[in-house]
Amino acid sequence: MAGASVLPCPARAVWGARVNSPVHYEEAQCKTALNRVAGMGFQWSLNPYRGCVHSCHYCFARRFHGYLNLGAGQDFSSVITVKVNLPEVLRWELSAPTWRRETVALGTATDPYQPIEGKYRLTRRALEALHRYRTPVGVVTKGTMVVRDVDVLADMAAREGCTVCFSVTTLDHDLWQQLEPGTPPPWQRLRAMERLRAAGVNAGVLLAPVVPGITDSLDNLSAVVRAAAQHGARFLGTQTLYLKEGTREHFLDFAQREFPGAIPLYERLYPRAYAPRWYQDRLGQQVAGLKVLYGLGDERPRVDENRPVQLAFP
Amino acid sequence: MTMETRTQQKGQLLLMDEGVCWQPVPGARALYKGPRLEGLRSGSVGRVAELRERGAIMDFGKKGRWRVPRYFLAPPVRSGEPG
Repeated sequence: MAGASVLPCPARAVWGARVNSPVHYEEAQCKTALNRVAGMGFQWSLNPYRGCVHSCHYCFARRFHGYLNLGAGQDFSSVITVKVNLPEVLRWELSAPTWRRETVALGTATDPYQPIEGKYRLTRRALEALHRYRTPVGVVTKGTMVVRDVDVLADMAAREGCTVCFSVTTLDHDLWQQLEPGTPPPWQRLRAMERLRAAGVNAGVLLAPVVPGITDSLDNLSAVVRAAAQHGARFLGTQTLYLKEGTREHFLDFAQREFPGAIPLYERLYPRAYAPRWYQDRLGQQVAGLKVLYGLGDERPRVDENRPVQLAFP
Repeated sequence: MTMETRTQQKGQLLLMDEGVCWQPVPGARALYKGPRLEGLRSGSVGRVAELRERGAIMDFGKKGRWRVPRYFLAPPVRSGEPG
């Protein structure tokens, strides 16, 4: 580690979550920037940080903190590794003659726009490098700081291609604070998405993960889909909670504390890391149906044109 | 009238491990069980005007014609029938 600093967590200060332990930021030199990915919709991933102050209790990346001999619980959101040389290493990798300009995903294991990005600007510098080498990117974030980089993202969208996915699991204030205590409010994320869409960026919503028994009610799902449509989301995707070792223990401890009534459901649904197929199918059908009802697609739900359109909600 | 005989008349019941997805047929009456929208609320009953791949064009009379995904359609239950 090249250096370390202890700062109060800005996200927690700003959004008023209940956890207020200090965050240790450790500067590190990385050997590689791009990670080869198999079996996904993208070929490479890129993570400027390890750990995430957003502190989402369901985050599947919690278990990766174990690789650093750190815990998947509090350590994940309070010990953040900053790969300070990542933009330079990335440029070197992209300049290789063998680089085939395959899609690079940012934010697969940590949020690239968590608050410390304001200081280090690693994500922005990585995007500039990817743009220079005409490499398409996909970004997944809950961070509203992404609007800072709207200029680069818009240029990328116009040339090599760029997709920004805003993760929104709920619009309920209490659920948001319980599940994602260090994140910007979901309605701010939707406004950020709106800004990006206005700039011509292909931006949409990931209603993911859907947390069984907690965020899978029709009211919650329809509120997110409706808001996504109202804010001009280009697309909306969903998937269910994934509970692998590391994340699993942390999440079930959290659920036992905050949602004890949901525990029997988890015992039934999660003998393994994935929810059963029937649950995923039912969720998929429900969300697909909501997308039609709220006009998030090619077709409008109301067939007769002379009547008021369905998207004007009370 | 049981659920089975009713659906034999008006449609086909597709059973999943949990939950039921009703298969409407043209002309059948169907109940909208989705979220409340402007101009259409849950519990509205209409007639299947046209079948689509994943749902139906429903005619709700004065409330207009709507594209409704199959997931949000159910056979209407008459008063006095078991739900």
